[in-house]
Amino acid sequence: MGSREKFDEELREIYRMLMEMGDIAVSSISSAMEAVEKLDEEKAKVALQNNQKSFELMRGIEDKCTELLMLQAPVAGDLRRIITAMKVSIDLNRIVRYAKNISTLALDMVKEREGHFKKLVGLKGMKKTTIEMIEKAMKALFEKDKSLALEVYEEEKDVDALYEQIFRELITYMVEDNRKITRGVRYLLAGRYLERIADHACNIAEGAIYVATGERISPE
Amino acid sequence: MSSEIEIEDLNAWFGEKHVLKDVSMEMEKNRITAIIGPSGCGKTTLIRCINRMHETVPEARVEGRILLNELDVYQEDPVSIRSRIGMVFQRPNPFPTMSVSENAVAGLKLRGTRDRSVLAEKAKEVLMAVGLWDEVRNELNKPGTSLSGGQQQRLCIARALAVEPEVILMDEPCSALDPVSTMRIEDLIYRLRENYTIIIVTHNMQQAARISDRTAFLYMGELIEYGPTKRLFEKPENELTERYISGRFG
Ligand SMILES: Nc1ncnc2c1ncn2[C@@H]1O[C@H](COP(=O)(O)OP(=O)(O)O)[C@@H](O)[C@H]1O
Ligand SMILES: [Mg+2]
Repeated sequence: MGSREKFDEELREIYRMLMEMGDIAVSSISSAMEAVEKLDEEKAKVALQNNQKSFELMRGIEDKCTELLMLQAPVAGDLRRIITAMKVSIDLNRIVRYAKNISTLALDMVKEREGHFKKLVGLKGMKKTTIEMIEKAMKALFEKDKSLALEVYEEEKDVDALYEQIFRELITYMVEDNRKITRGVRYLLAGRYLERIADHACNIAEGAIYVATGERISPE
Repeated sequence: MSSEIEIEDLNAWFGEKHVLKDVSMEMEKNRITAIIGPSGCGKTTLIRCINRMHETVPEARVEGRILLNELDVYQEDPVSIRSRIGMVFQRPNPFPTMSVSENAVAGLKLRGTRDRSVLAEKAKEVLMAVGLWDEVRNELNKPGTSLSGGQQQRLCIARALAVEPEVILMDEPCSALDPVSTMRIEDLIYRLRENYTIIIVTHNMQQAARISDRTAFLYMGELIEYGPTKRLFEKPENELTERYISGRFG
């Protein structure tokens, strides 16, 4: 195998690992939120376990990218893909950590032995949109699709709006009834973590645009 | 003084063989322009057209214009053009019968300077400029060819500087050198940029990326892409450029 073919092979492996990280991130968010919604301890543990796996993949990607940079001095599209893989792996790992934080909230709620005092419509909406954003951003990255990546930025606005709405609503509940403060703050934190996740999804979209076109988009 | 070069619709032939096709580009003053491309694409021919060496080959022909500070090179005396546009070759080629210091000022002597103290002064100046003085000050009378390869190449650069050119053309000046000598030459080229306009042909992509301000990619006699080096290596506009610089060619 020539050194260029080996290079291409390594780069494909890096992107395969990145794809795996993307799947882990999505499944972590969905289990963590299911744990919250259903107060399900088992689901919460899934997201906790994903954390280690994601971290190892991130390190593996870092090692492989460092090696390619060191040995092959890549340029142009190759360079952009390598730099972006390193950055996106960090974003995905952060997403998994936020999902872990959400799972911890779920475990706390389980311990409190109390049902939900409201339907979690807003949080469910945030979950659905953030997952979509990650999937879109990853697809844009793999398919070098700038317009798809730009849609991710649009969806971030929806997430922010939902968070704002949840925030106001919960404040009203907590002001009316101070026994709802503990649980209310937990809902609020879950929303806050989802909002952070959406932010990282935008970073991935930014990477997708850089890979596709070489442009560096700055979020407005 | 340094100069800028403008090339307009340059075409060059060896007999029937058309080796440069409608090349137009400008090389900026006090900047390093790198020319890259696969072997045989016309890099050497391009720079040899600039100082009118191409036409010295039997059957070779040039069309188009090359301006040195708006002066048409092909309307001038070739000898005077070659003193304004110096050249450094791939293999260090000090004159074998000459000492280190004689080599350094060979061009000057050829142009009629006879005064020994003027020559000695100039030799010291250019040897200092290329960072060779401290290494050879006690060996000035040894043959130029007794130096190491990297030192010989710096001697050749010194020889080119002695006639006070405005532009220096370099044709793969490091390709016969080890990595340490290569780095020293690169540092030197980078420093020379303050006072000269430099055009360097290199097959070493990293070298082009490290030292040049602008890079031109030639392919089969055509200028495919020309732009700021950083941009060309980060996001080349042409698919051929991308394939060439990332080693996916043919
Ligand atoms: N003296 C010559 N006579 C005939 N053809 C030549 C001569 N020198 C070079 N060529 C041809 O001209 C083309 C360009 O050569 P050159 O400018 O030396 O390319 P490069 O420097 O990019 O390797 C090549 O196809 C080469 O074979
Ligand atoms: Mg050549």
